[in-house]
Amino acid sequence: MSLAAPLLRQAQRTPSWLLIGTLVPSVLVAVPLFYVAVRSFEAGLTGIASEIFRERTFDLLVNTLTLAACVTTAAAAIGTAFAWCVERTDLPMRRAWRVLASLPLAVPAFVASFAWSSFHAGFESMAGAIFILSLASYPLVYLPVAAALRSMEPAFEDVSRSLGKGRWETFFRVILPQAGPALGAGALLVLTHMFAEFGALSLLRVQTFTTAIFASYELQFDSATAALQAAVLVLLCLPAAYGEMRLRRKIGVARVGRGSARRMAPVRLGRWRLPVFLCFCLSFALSLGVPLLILVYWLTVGFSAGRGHSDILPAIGGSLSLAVPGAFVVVLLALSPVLLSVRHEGPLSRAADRLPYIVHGLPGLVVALALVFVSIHYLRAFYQTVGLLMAAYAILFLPQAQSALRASIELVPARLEEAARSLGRRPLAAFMSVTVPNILPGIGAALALIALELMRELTSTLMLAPIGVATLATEVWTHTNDGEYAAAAPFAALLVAVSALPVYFFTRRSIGIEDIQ
Amino acid sequence: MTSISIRNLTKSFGSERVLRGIDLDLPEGKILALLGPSGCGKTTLLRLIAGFDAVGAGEIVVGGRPVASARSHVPPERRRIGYVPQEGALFPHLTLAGNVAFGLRRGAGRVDRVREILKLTGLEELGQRYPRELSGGQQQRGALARALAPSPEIVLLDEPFNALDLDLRRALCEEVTRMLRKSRATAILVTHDPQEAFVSADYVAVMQSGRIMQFGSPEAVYHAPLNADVARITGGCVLIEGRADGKVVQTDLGPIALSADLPAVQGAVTVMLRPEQIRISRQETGVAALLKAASFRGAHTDADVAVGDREIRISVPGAERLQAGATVWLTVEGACAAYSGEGEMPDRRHRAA
Repeated sequence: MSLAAPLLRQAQRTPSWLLIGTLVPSVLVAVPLFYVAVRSFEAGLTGIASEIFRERTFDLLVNTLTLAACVTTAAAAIGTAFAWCVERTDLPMRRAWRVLASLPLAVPAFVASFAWSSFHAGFESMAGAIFILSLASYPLVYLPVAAALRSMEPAFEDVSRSLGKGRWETFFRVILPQAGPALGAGALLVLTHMFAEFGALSLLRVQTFTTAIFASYELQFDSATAALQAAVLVLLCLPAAYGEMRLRRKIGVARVGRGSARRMAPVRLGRWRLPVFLCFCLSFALSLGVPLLILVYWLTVGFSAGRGHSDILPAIGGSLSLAVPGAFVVVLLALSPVLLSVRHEGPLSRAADRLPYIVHGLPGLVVALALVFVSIHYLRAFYQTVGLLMAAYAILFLPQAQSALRASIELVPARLEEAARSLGRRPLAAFMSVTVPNILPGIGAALALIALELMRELTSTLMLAPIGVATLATEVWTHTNDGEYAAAAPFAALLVAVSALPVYFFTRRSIGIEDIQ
Repeated sequence: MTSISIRNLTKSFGSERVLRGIDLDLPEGKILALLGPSGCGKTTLLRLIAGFDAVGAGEIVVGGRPVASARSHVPPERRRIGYVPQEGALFPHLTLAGNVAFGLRRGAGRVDRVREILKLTGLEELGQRYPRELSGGQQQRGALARALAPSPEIVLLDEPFNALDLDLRRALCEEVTRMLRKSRATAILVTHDPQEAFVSADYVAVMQSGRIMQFGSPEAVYHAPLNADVARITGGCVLIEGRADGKVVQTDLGPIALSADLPAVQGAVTVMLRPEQIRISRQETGVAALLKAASFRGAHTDADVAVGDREIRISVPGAERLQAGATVWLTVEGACAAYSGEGEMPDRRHRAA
């Protein structure tokens, strides 16, 4: 027994390559925070005060908060109502709706904005932005809430009814509190997305912090105004993102027992069945049908005009040339923190694992600004290179890559590596010969997912892509900004097609398609 | 006074007939165990009584008030029927006290009632804890406390001890029975464990294939099961052939008296004995048998013995060492049950005396 303890500690010692591999993404993720801190410090208290307490800043704050609050509230209401109807009522075609309700995610917000603004100029307003973004964002609430409702212990409802509570009281006092963490996390995700949204708001000509920062950046690359506006934006984003991370860890306590949940008899909607069904059809039409129809319309217009299609192949090439290497960089950087947190539980690994999640609320705009700043001042050689864009991708997409990898790495038990060690392999050899082959499918899936996500990334690509490189996303933005709707359409259509895949996987994961009877 | 009365209750899910005509009466303050294998319809019956599902046909009357029939359905929140689901299902977002108070009206008496009921269930120190901070047994008692708090007409318990390990299960079962008796609640407990049913209940209703096969005291259903199915559901049994002549049956184990609680039978019958009724001895009394195999089980030993060309398994209590290959002598203690042909169909009405 006296021998066992030191041996055990030795076996669990964290390998140094893993520590170094974790340090790199951690430093990278800290860059935007460093930028905001340094620039604020340079501006000094008086500089900050004069910049912050301006009418312009106040207007931006009001606009940003109005938009974020309205969209979050609307998305939370629609998402929760949809989730309840799909999971717990006799809504016609519920199995189809289970997937259909999440499909609006396949239309990137800036593509939906392109469609609606080309349809009528009236959508280029705050009200229009709230309308379009609410419809585009509600699946972010719908998916987690539906998953929570599905996995909820049905006995809770039975018990509440037997204790004299009617359906409504049961919903508000039992169901909603259980789904609370899922609803809260979904709503906060929408909130951070709204703080960070740039493309859609720019196309809809709504003035918020992101569009203002971009305008300042276009005037002057290293603008003090942009930096201080970014600081305010970061102060808005971080609490929301942190809150989301905290809530996400609470999800999943709603099931008490083991064993499978008994499926409940669905609630009969009675005479509300048809109206509710029509509501679903209407929202589906507005969030997916109309944008796609407009897209098809502009496609046919573009084809009949017969111009602009020579740009399509270069744009696809541009997208791939950035997204594929980007995915490799992101997934490679995400691997170490995940391995560290799964295999070597400790304060350091926890911090390294969580840092990207805390920072994931940072807008692509701020990340890009920070990297421009750092490269100009400290790493001149990197300025205007693909490397800088890769760094931005890494900061923005590490959390997604981490959660994609985590799922498959957790499936490979440490016992396997221990068995290899007992058969005479050194730690790294054991890892390479046993763990790596088993997580390769997971790594492949993460690569594909991140590559597809990177193809629809607009903001940091727009700001950091080397001069002359155009992608599908930047082409949509450029053409729409110039009012060339027909020219934007083919790129937008390709983006929707590309987006459908990650949405499908996201839906599968959060709803559990294979679980549908 | 009758607390619950069920007449000719049926229920189908699609084309599957889950309940095929249930009749049941339970007096106030008594505990009934619904005992049966999984899929026999016992949980469905419980859910119909609670009002979670609508009945197909028939009628349920609770405390003199009709609550369910093919035409009317009182929703569960207006039935005043307490429900303790499998694994307790305490609301995880509320403390134990919050759970217990959930079904109580706001008002002066609420806090006192919570304290009173927590005391009854032995949880008075734990009111401020959340369910995740309670052990499995405490959660289960908390669920009972929550159901008892509004003083319901009946408490329904759906296999409440299923999730617990065996030791805790037995102890908690006795404890819960004591609490139910103390609160003078009328209760229906669903279980597939005969021991649980016998320990806790005044009456046992043995269910199979959507019917109540037998309704009676724990002793009656154990010692005088109406057919071979009931015998198997209520415990281990030894089945041998015999020839009946009124109240006595001739068997390979000698003449055995037929239980006084069962109707007289004639001719070829199947005889049912409980394994512990057959006593084994080295003295030459009774019927000689060959001990083929013995399997030590701790408190008793399972012995396979051959009587003539028939092999039966019996249960031998105590520390006696049994050697395979030895000759032993068997005697039968007590009365047997006997069924002609496929066995008797049970009386369709089940009314407690």
